[in-house]
Amino acid sequence: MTKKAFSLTEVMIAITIAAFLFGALVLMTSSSAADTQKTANRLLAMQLALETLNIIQSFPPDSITTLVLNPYNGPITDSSGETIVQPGQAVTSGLEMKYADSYQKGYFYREITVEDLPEGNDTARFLKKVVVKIGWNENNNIPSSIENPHRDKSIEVATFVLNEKQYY
Amino acid sequence: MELIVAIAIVALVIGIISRVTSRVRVDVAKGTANLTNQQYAQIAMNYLRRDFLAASPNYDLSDNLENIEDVKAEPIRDAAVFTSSGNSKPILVSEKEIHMFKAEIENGKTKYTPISYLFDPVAKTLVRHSSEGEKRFNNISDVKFGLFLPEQNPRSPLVWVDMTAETYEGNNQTRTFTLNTSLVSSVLNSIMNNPHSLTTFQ
Repeated sequence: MTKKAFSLTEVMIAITIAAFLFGALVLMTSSSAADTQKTANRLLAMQLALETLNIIQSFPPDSITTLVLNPYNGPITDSSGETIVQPGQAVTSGLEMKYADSYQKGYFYREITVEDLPEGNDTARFLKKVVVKIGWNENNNIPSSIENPHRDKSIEVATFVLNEKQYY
Repeated sequence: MELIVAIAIVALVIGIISRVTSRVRVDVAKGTANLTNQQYAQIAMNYLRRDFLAASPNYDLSDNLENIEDVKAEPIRDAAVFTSSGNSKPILVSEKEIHMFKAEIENGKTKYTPISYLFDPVAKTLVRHSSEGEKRFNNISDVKFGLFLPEQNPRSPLVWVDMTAETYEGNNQTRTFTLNTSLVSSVLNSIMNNPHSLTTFQ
C-alpha cells in the first residue's frame, strides 16, 4: 500500500507562494508606517503655515514688508540638525519658543513674500498680499544644503492684509 | 532525510510567521495608533487657534474706569503674576491654562462670554469650557502655554503652545509627537497696535 503525501517539490512551491504573500503583507504595512510619517509632516507644515500667517497678521499693516519678515524666512532646522527658536522674547519665566524634535525629520523651510497689488485698482493700496510657502522633505531625505529652499514637497497659503491707515 | 527537511521547513515557516506578525504589530502601532493621536492633537490645536483669534479681555462697564483702563493697557497677562482688582479681566495665560473671552454684539451691547482651556495631566486631556458646554481632547500627554513678544512687534504678546500627543511603544521604543504654534488674537492686535485704544474703550 502506498501512502498519499505531499512531495518535497509541492511543499517548496507552497512555501514560496506563502513567502510572497507574507512579503506583500510586510510591504503593505511598511508603506502604512511611511504614509503616517508623510501625514505627520504635512500636518506640521500646515500648522507652520497657519502660524506664520497669523504672526504676520499680528504686525501693524504698514510695517509688513519682505525685509521685516526676514527672521521668519529660512529653515526650521539648522545645519547641525537642531530645530530653531521662534524669534522673540519670552514673557513667561523659563519659556523657550523652540520647535520640537518632531520638526527635525521634515527639514522644513519657510518662505514669505509680500506683494503690493497691481496699480490701477482703487483699493490696491489698502491691501497687501502675503504668501507663506512651507517646503519639506519626505523619507528623511537630507537636503543638499539646509539653506537651499528646495524640498520634495511644499504647500502655500496666502492672505490679504488690510492697511487701515491708508486713505482715499 | 525527509524528516530533517520537514523540520527545517516547519522551523522556517514558524520563523517567517513570527517575524511578520511582530512587524505587523509594530507597524500598526506606528501607523494607525500614532496617526489617530496626531489627529487629536491637530483638532485641539485648530480649536485653540480659532478661539484665540477672537480672544478678548472682559471690560465690565460697571467697573471703575481705573480697572478698565488697567486691563486695556495690558489686555493679556501671565496668570502667575496677575491679581484681580475688579470685574474687568485680561486674557490670562498660565502653563496649563488659558482663560479668555469672546466678545459678541447682542442688542447693540457687547457681551463677553468666557472660554477657557485647561489641561488635565492625569486624564491626559485638554478640556475646553465655554457656554456651549465642555469639550474634551483626549490622548494628549502634555500641553504647555507661555507668553512671548515677537521680535518684529514686541508691543503685542503672543501665546506659545507646546502640545505633545500620547506616546506609543513599538520596537521597545517610546516616541512622542509634539506640535508647536503661536496663537494670535486679532482683537488684542487691534488694541495693541492702535495707540489711541489706550485712552478709549468700546
